[in-house]
Amino acid sequence: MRGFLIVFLSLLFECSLLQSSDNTFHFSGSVFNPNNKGIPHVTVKILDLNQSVASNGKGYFNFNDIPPGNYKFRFSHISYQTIDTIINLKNDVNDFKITLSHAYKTTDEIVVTSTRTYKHLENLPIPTDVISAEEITKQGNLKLDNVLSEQLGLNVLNNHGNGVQLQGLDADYTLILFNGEPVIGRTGGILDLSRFTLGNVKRIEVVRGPSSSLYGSNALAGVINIITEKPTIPLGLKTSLRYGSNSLLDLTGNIQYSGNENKLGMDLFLNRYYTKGYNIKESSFGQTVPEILSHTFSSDIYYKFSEKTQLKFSGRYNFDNELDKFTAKSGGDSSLVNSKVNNDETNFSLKLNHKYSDDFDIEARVYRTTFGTKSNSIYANTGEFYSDYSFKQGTNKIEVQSNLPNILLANLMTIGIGGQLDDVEAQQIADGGQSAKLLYGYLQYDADFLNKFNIIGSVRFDSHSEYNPHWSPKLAVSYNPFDNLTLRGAVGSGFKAPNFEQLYLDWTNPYAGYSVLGVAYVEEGVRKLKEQGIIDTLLIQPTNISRLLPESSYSLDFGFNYYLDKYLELKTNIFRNNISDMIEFLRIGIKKNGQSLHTYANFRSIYTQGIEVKIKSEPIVNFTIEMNYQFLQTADEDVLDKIRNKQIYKRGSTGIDRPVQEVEYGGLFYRPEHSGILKIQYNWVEENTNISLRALFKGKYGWADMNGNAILDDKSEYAPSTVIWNFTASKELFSFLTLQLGIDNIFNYKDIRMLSVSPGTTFYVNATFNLNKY
Amino acid sequence: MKNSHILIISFIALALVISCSKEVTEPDNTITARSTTISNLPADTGKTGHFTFFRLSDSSFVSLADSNTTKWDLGFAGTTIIINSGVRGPGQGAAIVLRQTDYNSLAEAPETGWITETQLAPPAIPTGSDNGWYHYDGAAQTITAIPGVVLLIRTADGKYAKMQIISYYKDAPQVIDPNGQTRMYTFRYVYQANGTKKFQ
Repeated sequence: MRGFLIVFLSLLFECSLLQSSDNTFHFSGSVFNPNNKGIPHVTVKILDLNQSVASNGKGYFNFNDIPPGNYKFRFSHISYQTIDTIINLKNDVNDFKITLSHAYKTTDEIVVTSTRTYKHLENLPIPTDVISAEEITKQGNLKLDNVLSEQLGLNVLNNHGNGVQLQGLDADYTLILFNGEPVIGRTGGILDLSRFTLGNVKRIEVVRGPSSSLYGSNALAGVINIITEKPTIPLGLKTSLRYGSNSLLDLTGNIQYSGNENKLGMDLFLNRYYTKGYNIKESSFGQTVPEILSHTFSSDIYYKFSEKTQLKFSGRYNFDNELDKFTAKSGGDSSLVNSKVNNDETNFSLKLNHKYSDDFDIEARVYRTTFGTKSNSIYANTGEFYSDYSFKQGTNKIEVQSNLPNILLANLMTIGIGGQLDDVEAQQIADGGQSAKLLYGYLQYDADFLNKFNIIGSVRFDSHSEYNPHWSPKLAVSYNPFDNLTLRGAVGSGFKAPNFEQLYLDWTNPYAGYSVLGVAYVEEGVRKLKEQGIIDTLLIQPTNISRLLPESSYSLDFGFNYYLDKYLELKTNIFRNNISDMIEFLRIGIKKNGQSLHTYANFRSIYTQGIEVKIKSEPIVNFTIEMNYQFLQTADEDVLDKIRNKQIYKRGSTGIDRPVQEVEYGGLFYRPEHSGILKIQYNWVEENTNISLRALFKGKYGWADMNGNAILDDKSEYAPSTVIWNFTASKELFSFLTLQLGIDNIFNYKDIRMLSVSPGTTFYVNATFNLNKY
Repeated sequence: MKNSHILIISFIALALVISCSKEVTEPDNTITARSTTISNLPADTGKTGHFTFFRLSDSSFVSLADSNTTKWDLGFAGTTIIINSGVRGPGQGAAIVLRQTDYNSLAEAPETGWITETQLAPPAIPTGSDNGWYHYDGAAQTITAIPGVVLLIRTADGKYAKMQIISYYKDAPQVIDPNGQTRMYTFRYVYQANGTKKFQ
């Protein structure tokens, strides 16, 4: 803006000096940057005459023999804002001066997840990515797992549903939020991301690094927040229909209404999704993806009592039926079993916000969420009962947060307190169900210093009924030495609380015969098993088993955002995560059937470290190219100790059993050392067409132990590197109709090792009708 | 502007993780005693619940009818290997599962630690993944012998042998097909006929 004013004033000044002369004139001058230095290689073009020259090393340029008249001049340079100006040429001009201001590719993006306050994405000291609705639409992503698999460093794995590995940490260690509130319902630690359809999603924010200092348990690797549409237009109707491979049929409908001078807004969303599923590997666990029919109903409503007081409601109900078949083996016989699984999930939140001023507000939030799953299996030929299972979980939460300006040099102080009640009901949980209470408080300090530093410190205290109180601090600093460069650094701690299974499980594997008891139940459980005469030997007495601690981590990350010019940006992040006290099975006894009796204990430690690099460029207008790369190293510290103490062996190439050497250790399974994403997008404005091509690369990764020592240490244990190409083309036919064609996995890559969840090449067509009244 | 370039370059330089790759060194294969290798010993492939009995001294199979005699030293059924003593048979059999040991260079069996079949479960050579001789991998769905494990066996008549399981799959393939035929043992052993615990 300031640059524009300078140009405007200098033009005003220069033009007043122009005087009339003969037939043709010459026009010369210099182009300066805001520091009054000449800029070389500026293209100066007289648009009307189609003549152009370039400025020399001192920013000087010269046109000769220009007939008199009104001309539009364009001054353009890759690193500066382009300026068009009209000059009335009536005489020779020798010392025209113009100042161009720097142009960087910047966004006005506001994010909310990293600090629980509204913050500009620029200069934010906490690494945060935003996936916009536009990007989701252009890429044709239907479900949350689809869109996340096309983001750098997010490794979507299929195991008890599609979970996401972030910074090399398992899916258990990433917190999933829906409109800022935690989502529950994990199976084996995995929250199945395909439960979330994206039709009404406005944006997805991905925060990398621990965020337990604001969100508590599970936010060790990061936080993924799904934010749905907020109604802003008087009346809008959007429907979308997709048909694709594997009998995919997806229907969505979305109605938006806002009225009464924007006092009331409503958004209603409906989705029906069906796929027949697919199978890429015959296994006794059923199809890779079963036949699924799911329905989602979701709604956002707000009501403004006044300009200052607002009530917001967000509700979601998701229900799905899965049909699957698998082969059950007993002895030498195998028979087909049909299984039916129903999942249902609800999320309801109510937020009452009152603003005292622009940066002083208080918000009260009430949240209720439930997740239930029921499965029932019968023999296909006889219809006899095979097995059943049910699990129900609920969370009730109440929270008050206030943002206060100008305390102790802070721009903003955030204080929150809350309470949470969790309950679970399941056959395999002791006494058929349990509940737990949590009280917490958090404090965040956000201050700017010397105009160049932003410091955000936060801390949270969790007091839980089942484990010891826990403190989670975090400190993040950003430094802006120049307009186009931000340096970031953060140190923080995260934790993951023991879950209900780890505390109260009372379960015997019906096929293998081993048993697992939760730590809080182990004394009682062992006594009962002893009474039944099932235990052969107790290796550890239940009274010697210590109470579970939360798993905890500390993390460091450093990085920078650099904007070379308006067409090129570079973002880098270097991270290190150490998790200790990881909860693992502990063998405490041997049963009469020769199988083990397990409980849980804190003993394992791992680390992950790596570098993320993102380059985004627009070499030609409307043509963008993104190159993302991640380098990742991981290790289990206990395995490292054992290797150093020569306690893990392998059969070497000479047939001799020898200790594994440290250089042979490949770290944790399923972590590609190198991975990357290439995205190319072209927006053909004249034809209302958008084309998007993405290449998802995963380098070789440890897949399974093949040589008996349970660790990754041999060439045969790696799966090969893969590249999966996805393509979409969209065309807006009329202002209300957009058609899209998509091909996922163009080269039909299939991976039986489950790292990739792709069924091979799939096609889809999508039609979106959009009717809006403004 | 220039300053920012320098900052970035130094930042990247700082960030570069330099990994030095060291060579893996393999020990020489010095065979100390001649092993007998048995291939494709069927271990109840029909899942009838019966053991396949084997005698170490002359590498011969013993019929099921002789299960209550001292003619056999080892019994195989699935992943379970039993020895001839206690609840399993009338012999003097015992076993030690030795870990972190190279089979080739093991010169002598230890004096202590011998376990007999005092109960049906768990047996002297423990069953279950990582407890005894094998590892079951959930991802690959394969059963593999744990490297560094040497099974020391006292035979029914009180002689000693050292033994190494090589494979649980038919023809002991280098790369295991999880759907390949299991319960087909390949193993090697050194039997000491003179009654000492030395294998030199």
